[in-house]
Amino acid sequence: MSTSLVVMQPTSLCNLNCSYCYVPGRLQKGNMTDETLAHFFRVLFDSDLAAQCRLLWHAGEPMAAGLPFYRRMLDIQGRHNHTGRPIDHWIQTNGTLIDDDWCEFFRQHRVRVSLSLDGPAFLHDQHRRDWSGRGSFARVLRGVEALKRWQIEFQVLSVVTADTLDFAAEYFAFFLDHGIEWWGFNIEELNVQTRSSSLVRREDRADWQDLEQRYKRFVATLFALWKQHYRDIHIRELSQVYELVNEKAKNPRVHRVSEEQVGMDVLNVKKNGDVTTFSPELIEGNDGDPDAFVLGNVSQIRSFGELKETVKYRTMEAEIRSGVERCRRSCAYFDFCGGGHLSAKYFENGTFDCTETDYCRLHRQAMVDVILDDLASAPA
Amino acid sequence: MASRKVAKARKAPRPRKAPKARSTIQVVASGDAEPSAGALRRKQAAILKKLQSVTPDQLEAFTARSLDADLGETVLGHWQKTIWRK
Repeated sequence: MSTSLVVMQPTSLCNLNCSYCYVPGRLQKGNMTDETLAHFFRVLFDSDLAAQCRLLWHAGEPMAAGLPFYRRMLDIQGRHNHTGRPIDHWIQTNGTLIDDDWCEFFRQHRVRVSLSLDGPAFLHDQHRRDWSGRGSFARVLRGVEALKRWQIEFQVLSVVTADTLDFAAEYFAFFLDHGIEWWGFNIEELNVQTRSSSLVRREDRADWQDLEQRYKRFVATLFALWKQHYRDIHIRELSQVYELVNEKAKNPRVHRVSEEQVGMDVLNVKKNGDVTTFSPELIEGNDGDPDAFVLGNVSQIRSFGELKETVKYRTMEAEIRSGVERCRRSCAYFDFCGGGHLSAKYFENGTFDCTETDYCRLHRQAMVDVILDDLASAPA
Repeated sequence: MASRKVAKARKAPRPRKAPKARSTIQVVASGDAEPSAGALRRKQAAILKKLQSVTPDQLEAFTARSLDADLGETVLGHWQKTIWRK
């Protein structure tokens, strides 16, 4: 067993109320306690880790936990790290709380930063609002300016909804104009909180073809623009498919495996110390049971390896493996996907042991079609 | 053309199993439907044909840097990081 990424939830509190968020309790104050942090680091350093393990501080809004929390956390980490193994700290933040004090902390401790930003204000503010209903765009841009002032590199992760699809050029231009070199986009998914998505149709298939065409046009426009600016901009999704086409042209046996399919490679630790693995989205359970995927708690285990022996883990792993095999047998896009996005499988189909989802029809199949069509027909 | 063939194949999915009891989320998507062997082979052939049609000057043309070296070391790269298996 080897773990390369631990997604940490220091608090469920968030100053924003984004429409597609999967985390419940975003108005509940309270951070992960020092005791839980101490248990976590004790278990972490007694467990198998990859050569370099990363801790990614994530939802609610990790910066809502406050700077004193992170200073204490580093102190506790230092007291438990008897291995001398390096630990990288990363943060996925909505960016609204970034100021000079935070930038100084990021700089001092080499914390890598990724911002959640959905493009220009008219797109971003549709879904990323605060609890009073006000858009957060202006506050995020203040954070962007602070990071630039401190010369701190950052990336952007955005969520594409149906509202974004008709504005590919504006979406791309925003990132280009703001000098944002690295960005990626997820699509709005079903999750335990929202139970709906503008890009998942399930029962109502009437406008599916239209939605699929709009998505394809969106990707085709982005890809055409990216090809003009590929030296300045990396778009994760497009770069990955392009790279895979390259690799498959050299070796047809190459295929994709998503890290989240590999049990225990990605761990998720909740504020109370509960641990899950596979998709980070599974940390909040399903809508009948918030602990549906919890394998144990850091206060009750000696190493993360123990969790692989639980009945729940074995059941999940068997179901996931079966679903991946079904994808391998039945889907022409398998090599480009590797068996799907687990949380989409679960929240769209109610099980990991299944094949297609609307997520993969768009974000895998349609994307591959568009990029292959483009590369197969266009001169360099 | 290829996508129309897939859409046609999906019009008559196999009967679906009932959702698993442990989820209270209603299951209506076609996650259990598998295409016929013929439809799958045709789709695979169409993808392979496109893949083989990508001209050498298109390959590597837009690779500014190695993704493994750069994207893999970023926060962004670790979300849904891809592991290449050969």
